[in-house]
Amino acid sequence: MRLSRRGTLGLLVPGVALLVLMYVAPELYFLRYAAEKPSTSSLAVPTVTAGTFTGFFRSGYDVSVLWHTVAMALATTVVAFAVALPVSYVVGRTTGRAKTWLVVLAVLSMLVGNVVRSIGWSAMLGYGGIVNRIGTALHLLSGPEQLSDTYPAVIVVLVSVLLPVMILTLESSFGSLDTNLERASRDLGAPPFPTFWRVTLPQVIPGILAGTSIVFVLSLNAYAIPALIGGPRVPALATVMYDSVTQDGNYPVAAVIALLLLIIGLAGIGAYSFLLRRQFEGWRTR
Amino acid sequence: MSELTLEQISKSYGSVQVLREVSLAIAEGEFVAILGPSGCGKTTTLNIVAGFTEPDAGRVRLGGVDITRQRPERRDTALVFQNYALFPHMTVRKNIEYGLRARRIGGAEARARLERVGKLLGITGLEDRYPGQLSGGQQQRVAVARALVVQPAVLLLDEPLSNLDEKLRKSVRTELRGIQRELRQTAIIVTHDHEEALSLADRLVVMDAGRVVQAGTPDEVFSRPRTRFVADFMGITNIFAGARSGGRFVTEGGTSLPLPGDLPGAPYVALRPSALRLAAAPAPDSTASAGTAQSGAMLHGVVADRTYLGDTVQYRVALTGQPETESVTVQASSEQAGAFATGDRVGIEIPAGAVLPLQADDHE
Amino acid sequence: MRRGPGTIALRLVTLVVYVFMLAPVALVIWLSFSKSQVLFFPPHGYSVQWYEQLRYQPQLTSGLFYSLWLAAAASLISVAVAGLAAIGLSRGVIRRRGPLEGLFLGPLMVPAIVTGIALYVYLYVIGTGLRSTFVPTRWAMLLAHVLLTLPFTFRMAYVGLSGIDTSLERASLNLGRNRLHTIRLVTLPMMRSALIGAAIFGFIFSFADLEISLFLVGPGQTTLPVAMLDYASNQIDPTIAAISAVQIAIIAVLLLVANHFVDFGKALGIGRAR
Repeated sequence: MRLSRRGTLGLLVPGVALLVLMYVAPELYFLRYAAEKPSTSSLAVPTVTAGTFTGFFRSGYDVSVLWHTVAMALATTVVAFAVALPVSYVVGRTTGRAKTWLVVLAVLSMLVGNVVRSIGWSAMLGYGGIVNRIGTALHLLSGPEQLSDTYPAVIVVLVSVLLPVMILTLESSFGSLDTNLERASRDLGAPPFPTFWRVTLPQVIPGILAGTSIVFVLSLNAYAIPALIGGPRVPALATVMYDSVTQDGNYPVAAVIALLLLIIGLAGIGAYSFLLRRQFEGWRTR
Repeated sequence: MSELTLEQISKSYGSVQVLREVSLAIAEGEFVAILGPSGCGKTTTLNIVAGFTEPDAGRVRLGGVDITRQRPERRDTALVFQNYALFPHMTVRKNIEYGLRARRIGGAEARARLERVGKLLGITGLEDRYPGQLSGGQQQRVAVARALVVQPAVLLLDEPLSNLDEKLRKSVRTELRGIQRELRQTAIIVTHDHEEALSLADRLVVMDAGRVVQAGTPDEVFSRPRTRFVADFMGITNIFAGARSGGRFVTEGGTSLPLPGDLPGAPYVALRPSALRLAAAPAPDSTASAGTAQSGAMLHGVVADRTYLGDTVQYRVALTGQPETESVTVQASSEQAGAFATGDRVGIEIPAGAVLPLQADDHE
Repeated sequence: MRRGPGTIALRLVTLVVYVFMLAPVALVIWLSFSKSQVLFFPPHGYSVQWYEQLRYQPQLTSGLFYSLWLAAAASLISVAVAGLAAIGLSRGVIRRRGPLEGLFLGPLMVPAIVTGIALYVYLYVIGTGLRSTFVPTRWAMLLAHVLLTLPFTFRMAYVGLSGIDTSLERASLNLGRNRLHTIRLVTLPMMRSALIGAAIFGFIFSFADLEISLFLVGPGQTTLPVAMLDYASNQIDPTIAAISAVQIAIIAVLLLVANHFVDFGKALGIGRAR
């Protein structure tokens, strides 16, 4: 059924207008502050300058936050991937009610929100918390330690929070695999591990690229977890951005950070598209 | 020695018994076809030979060695999958070399084998393409090549021709047969197509509901099917249930058929359509009692329909005085039988060899 | 294929990982029943007092109700806009769908926290210009939440639409109904499960969101997650655990309801590797 021009416009205009006027416009409007100077009396001094931007990079503190945030995001992505891989393999292969439960649990853990999970982790990482208890019992720790407010803690929690995303993305790739391919490989003489490495894994590369790029972007932009678990000692780009608005009223710097987050995020997604396309060049059907 | 034996293999999935004490022996160089409808257990049997499943009971031996619990990668078998299962991310060459690489065969030997198998299957020139760029027929050849190149003790084929179109199927069949003979490759093919089985195999194994119902040469199975199921599966129509009575076989519908004296009694009888002969009906005042369907070795009736099949013509003859269900199909070559039309009164001659007694199916 | 020791190891790993993922959630629920205010692990006694005491936590309870209202309103508006847009996009006369599809998925591209600030600044400036206050207000927050949920509701409506048998629409036209009526009588009813699923997921995303709401909260208008974050920054105790458990319960129930209407993997589009 094809709609008329009027019909099409009528249906699309509300949504498009909403998005253009209330999403695209504000984003652009805000980002332009990156080219302005901070002001104490108003939002910013209306000029066009690169000073704020370069100022960011001249500040050792800011640069270190940038570097640390990207490093944390990368670390989170790598760990989440490594952990999710075997799990997605299993979940992707499961069928029936067991599978439904596995998916629902993963989705639930994802949707309850970062705040709840951060609170849970905060409790777990406390002095009397479960991690300290088990750690001391297993003699991994000499006594209860300050676990939160550290980079490793933030990474661990980020991984825990983003695992469902990685698992759900990967498991669908594993689930749509032709199991005969693995059988063929074993039949021809390759044991299970080489089979996984040479036959299964290459098939799921699109899923891997998608999952890792999503998780990278999400951990890069994270706010709640660095705020609650990391605290002042583990600043992240998002928390610094928040502080620069609420504490310093410095919108231009906030805009610069926003711009950086956008650029790095887009670079990640761009890498994904690029790698994906290159991957499929050869094997496409005719 | 690569004689493959299956001894009393049983397998069930949950409450479903898929294989019941299946035993089979395949000599070296033999091409055996396992034939049966879906669900009869033929694919499970293949999977057990390949090592993808383990039987609940029974043994598999290859060259005398018990391989029942051996892992698939260690077995000297190679399987051609129904959907080919070519590795889409590898070129044809890499696909074919895969098994060689796994067995650590490289260098000159690998190249030589690749070339040989390429020529054999007619796929030279395709080595650098990807499976996604090949036609169905080409993919199938690559799949066969990939399996043959490792020179397995037993080649396994899982309905390899079912995804090909009709014309291709027939030509590939002939080729496969030729290749198998030339290489003297022991092979097992699993199929539901009786024509395919008959044309390819040295020996046929017919399975139904997890059991081997009949095994023998194609000729044996086709001309002397043991049970009703086998006859039906072979495409033999005109199967009647009934009982022996006074030297003849009386069907449930009441038709009396001649039963060659030396054949044992059986609950079913089939009349091979291509062995029956149609003749113009004898004049009404002949020795035949008017209005009966049979006299001696002849049946009487009227042609109910006529189907022209090109080389042959198929007639369905409704027997005089008998219900529609007792109609008999006669298949004759067009030259011989072309003359009759629907509505003609005809007689059907039943030569001795046309009557096949059949046992009841094993699970009745 | 056959089972081996590898399979058992894999299943064990899956179990451990799932525990790792869900542990904080389970723990929070557990701790909410702890008797003493100081959190011990394992709890030294159990009580439901903290749930009863929640009514004395105005920040948290008003946050809960605000968030509930917000999520309901935002998801309904979002589904309406997205549903119509999805129909318009898939059935309309458009030469290139790509850019418009991209537009609707847009809000996912920019970090939610940035969108929050951007909206704040934008509406503040417009408000000042019009001598009015647009931020922080409920309406600004509602707008933000509609934008937040739009990519998901759109995606689900769009996917739901593509699963419809178009010949039914053609039949309706053939029998005499015009396009508008066809949409109302045929298309929309057939999209029912997708739309319900979209509404539920929209609700959940809005209800649980923190980032976009951070800058748009105001006195008396704080969303639950923001209120929870504030509280938790000071202390982690059974009270915050209790309200967290309430939030978890609401979301879990909604998810189970959604499970009836929608197949998760496909709907969330998470598995799509394009």
